[in-house]
Amino acid sequence: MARQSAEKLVAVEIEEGIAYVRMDVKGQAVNTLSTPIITRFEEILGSLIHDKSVEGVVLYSGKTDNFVAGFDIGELLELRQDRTKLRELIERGQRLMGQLETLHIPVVAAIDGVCLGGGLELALACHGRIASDQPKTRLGLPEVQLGLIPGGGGTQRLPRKVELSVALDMIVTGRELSAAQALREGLVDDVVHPAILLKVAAEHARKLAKEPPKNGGFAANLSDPVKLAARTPARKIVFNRAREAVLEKSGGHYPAPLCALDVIELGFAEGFDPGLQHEGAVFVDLVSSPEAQNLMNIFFMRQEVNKDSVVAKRVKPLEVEKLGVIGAGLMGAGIAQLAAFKDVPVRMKDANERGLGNGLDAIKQQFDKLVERGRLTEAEADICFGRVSGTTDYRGFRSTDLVIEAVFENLELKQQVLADIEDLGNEELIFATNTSTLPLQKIAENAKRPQNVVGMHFFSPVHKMPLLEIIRTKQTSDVVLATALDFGRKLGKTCIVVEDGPGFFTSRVIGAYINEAAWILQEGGRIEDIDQAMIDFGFPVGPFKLIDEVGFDVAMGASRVLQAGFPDRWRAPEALAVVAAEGRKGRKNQQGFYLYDDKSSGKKVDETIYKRLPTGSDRRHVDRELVQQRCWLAMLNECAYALDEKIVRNARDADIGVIFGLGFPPFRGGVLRYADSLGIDLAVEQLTHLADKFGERLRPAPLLEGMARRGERFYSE
Amino acid sequence: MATRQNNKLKKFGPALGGEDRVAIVAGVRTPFVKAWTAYKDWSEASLAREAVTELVNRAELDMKQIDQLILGCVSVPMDGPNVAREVVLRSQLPSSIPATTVQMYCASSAYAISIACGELLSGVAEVVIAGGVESMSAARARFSLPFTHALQEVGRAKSLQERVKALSGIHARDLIPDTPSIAEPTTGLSMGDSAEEMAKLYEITREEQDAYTVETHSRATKAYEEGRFPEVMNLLAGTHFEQTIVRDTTVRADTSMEAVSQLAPVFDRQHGTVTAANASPLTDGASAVLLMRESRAKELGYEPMAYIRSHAIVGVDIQKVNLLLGPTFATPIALQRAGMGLNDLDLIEMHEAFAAQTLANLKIWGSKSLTRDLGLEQPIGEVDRDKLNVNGGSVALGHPFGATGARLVMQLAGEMQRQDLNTGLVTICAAGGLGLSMVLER
Repeated sequence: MARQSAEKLVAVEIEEGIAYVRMDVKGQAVNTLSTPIITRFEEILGSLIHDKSVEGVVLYSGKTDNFVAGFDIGELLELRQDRTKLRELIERGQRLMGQLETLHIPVVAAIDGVCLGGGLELALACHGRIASDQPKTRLGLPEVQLGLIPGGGGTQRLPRKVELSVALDMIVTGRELSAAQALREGLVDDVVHPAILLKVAAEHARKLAKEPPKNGGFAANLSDPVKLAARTPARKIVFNRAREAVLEKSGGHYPAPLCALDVIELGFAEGFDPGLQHEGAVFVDLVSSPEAQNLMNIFFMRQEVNKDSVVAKRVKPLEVEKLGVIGAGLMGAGIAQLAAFKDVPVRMKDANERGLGNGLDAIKQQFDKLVERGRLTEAEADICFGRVSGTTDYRGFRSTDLVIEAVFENLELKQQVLADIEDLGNEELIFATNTSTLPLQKIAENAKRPQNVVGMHFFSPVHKMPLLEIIRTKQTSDVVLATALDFGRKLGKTCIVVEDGPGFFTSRVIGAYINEAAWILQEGGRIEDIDQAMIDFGFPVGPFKLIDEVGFDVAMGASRVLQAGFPDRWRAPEALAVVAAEGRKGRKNQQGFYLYDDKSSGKKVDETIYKRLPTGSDRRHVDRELVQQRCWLAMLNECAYALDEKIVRNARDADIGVIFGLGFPPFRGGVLRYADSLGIDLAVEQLTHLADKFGERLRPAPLLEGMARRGERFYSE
Repeated sequence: MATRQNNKLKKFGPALGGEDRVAIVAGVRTPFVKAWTAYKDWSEASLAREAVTELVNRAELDMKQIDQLILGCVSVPMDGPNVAREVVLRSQLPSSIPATTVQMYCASSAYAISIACGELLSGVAEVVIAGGVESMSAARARFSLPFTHALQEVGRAKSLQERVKALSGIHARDLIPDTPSIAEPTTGLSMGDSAEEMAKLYEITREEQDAYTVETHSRATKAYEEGRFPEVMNLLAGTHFEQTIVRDTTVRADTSMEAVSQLAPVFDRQHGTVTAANASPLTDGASAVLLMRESRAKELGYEPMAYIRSHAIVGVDIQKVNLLLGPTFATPIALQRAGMGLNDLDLIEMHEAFAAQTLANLKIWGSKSLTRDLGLEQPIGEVDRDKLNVNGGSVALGHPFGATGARLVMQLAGEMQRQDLNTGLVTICAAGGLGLSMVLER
């Protein structure tokens, strides 16, 4: 990228007294800021100072739906060990923003599409901002999501531009604003149709040139016009509240949001320039923090996974013009809802009207929620809902291109559904199963067209969970796999492709984790202690809460499949089976590890469970770190087996799978990345120790032992 | 198969489209339900899209093949009066499908089929979906015109004073909203009044009307028991889709002469004979049929239910003769165009707006003098009741105005297919003195 000629990054054209500065980083779908682009901007600003014919500047992007997506994360990762260079880069960036802000002529940003991170900081340094009124236009500072804070003056300029509470929300949570919201908050000066964006921006620049705002010109906001709330002692309360909220949400695992609060507060207490300096120093510290590096790595890994063609590039996926969904339960309805939301017509079948009605209701409610949140208008929600049509027979399925079955996890039932679909006589029709554990080979045992069978394992809730695990058998054709991948991505999912086998990849890894937690329960641990230990580790919920959510039937089914699949090394404790035998199904029948009456709704453990367990009601304290170690190492061991058996293609896919499908804490970088950071030899040592004490199932996988012996890592860097 | 039937019909001369006729490939309708009940929260578009979507799915039709959607609707909503277009935009159908909504009162969806027929014959379309919808429940009361005008002025007013002035001319009576009515604008008579007039003029007794009513309910009940309504889809209704509507809710298995004769007349309380029982009930529902040329149907692998042989529409002078005589005027023309007589018909579907209107028309058909009185040359003939509305009619099944025409066509085509019969007639009276008749063949 550094080799590109400067004009290819930013071009300037002067027309009727306005300099149109066009950013267009070639070879990239989106614009990102980087050292070369900063250099180019410095040049341009330098030449504008001497150009008397120019009365104003319009800054815009040559990309569709993208202003600037942020700073180039690749460059940050490269520099992460070199604090001096990083510091220089940040100061240069901050200086550029300052030069822009103090330019003798007004600069107006014309924002069409994504305007995030460094992009918004650039826009904030301009004297005016005009945004286009299209849905892709989003403004935000999402740096915290990468474990960073804004480093181009965003922590100082945003709180001086909009209400303090809004600025804190945007900087601390990464919340993005639509164009309309940005106008309401005063972040942009006008919102117009994209077709007249440049014209309006130029008019705005001319107006600013002619009638500079009072208080000494358009650069007046340098003089620190702090908002009322920020000036008064009430500021302290606002910041403290924000700190509490951050701690509550992050469990203290993510330093960046708290750092951001410190930097903003310091800017208010000591002024703009000290604030800016502090911002830069903190930014440099954070870039080299393990959390930020892990989060940035995940960002890249996810990008790679999203671009991975998996099969040869010449294999073209088929278009899914109509989707069939069988089973209108939680998963089926979720898949139908998401597809309808993404413009795909859906025919959904359930065994009976009651099930179908529940499914339609769930879909309708999800769209209603989007209306409530302002994401859709009522008409748009109705358009989406109208794409779903329900049935209790197979009419309308022959003309689909892809059928996803989401019936109960029962082998015979799934085989029957597959046979029914094949009997419709559409030779091209792709059959995807949403099974989480049943081996595809078994489901497709009697298939007439096994090349058309593929696994599409969605996670619950479907509209929220970012991962889709796609499973291929030895017979799955490349075009079928490519179609599943393409369709999964169209639904907005990050897709990993894994091979067929008991529990595929994600279910066996989460299975190992739950299994170990159940052993600890069986040995006498308390449910809330074990769950809390794993929340402290960084999981969004503990293992027992997770079982309640997915359902005992699903968890037990998976456990049986895994036990049968790995008879030599898998051992399941009786604990789960005993509890399930009581008829507990989890949240869905309001009987689980937790109580689901109106009062506690899943917050309190159902103590009566302990009586049924072999170890009885007498519970003992278990060491938090030991719980964490046993559970995560059980995951690591299973990941290693899956890698060794080539179920999962590489460490990257495995880590993307555990983070986006299983909720493994992102700041640890993934199971395998975390093992790397700890040292494989140490992990093997701990596993050996655990296996001696708690059971052979924890004996380190041969792959791990080999790696430890050879001093290898999962990732090269 | 088709050749054999063509030979059989040869003596009548060619059907519309000649060797490449217009085929009725499939039909679907929602159950018809009493107004202000199960569908009361559904808009016209959401009700119609159920029938249309189910139709394309049952037909396994590639939706890109559809060239037009034409729907009938009598009382179109003010928000989205082109209901057909709303259906396209709010359903699985690609937005590129042009759509129109037509209005011919109770014959609307049958007329939608006639238009579709023309589009197919002229070659501007190859695949058309035609149907209709009505939601009495969704029809809204309106402000009176003076009040509406006053509100407009209020909207334009710049000061409180102007606002007050705008409203000052409003009388209390202007605040009473106009409720949707079924009165004829030029005569002021309601449909019920016209039926009353007909019963009196053509001497149709209360007993005859009630007996007819019991018969049509019993035929509809039997037809449901025997599964003769495959075109009626199951529809999930209720706030949470917890209610499954599987059949028309106005069909009564337990109707008897004793029960219907208890009811008081509605339109002429003293001397009248038309009651809530022997009139078609106010109903919500939607219907849709899939139409294409015979050759296209063959290409796509369909086995059509029936073909359109001829059709005719008429208007009668309602200042001089009764409003509901459409079938009497339209049928001779349709039959003439088909080259047929009444005796060549195997089945007849006559829309039953009222038992009185059905019986009066039939009476005229069989009477030389009554026919002559209307200025027509030849009586159509005596109708064999065993061929008429064999699976029940609108009095029992319900009558969502915009949906009934297509209901009659699919019901006739389905019965012709089931019994393997060659010919059939659909005939409909409509408000405004309009009538439509259509001859089907196989």
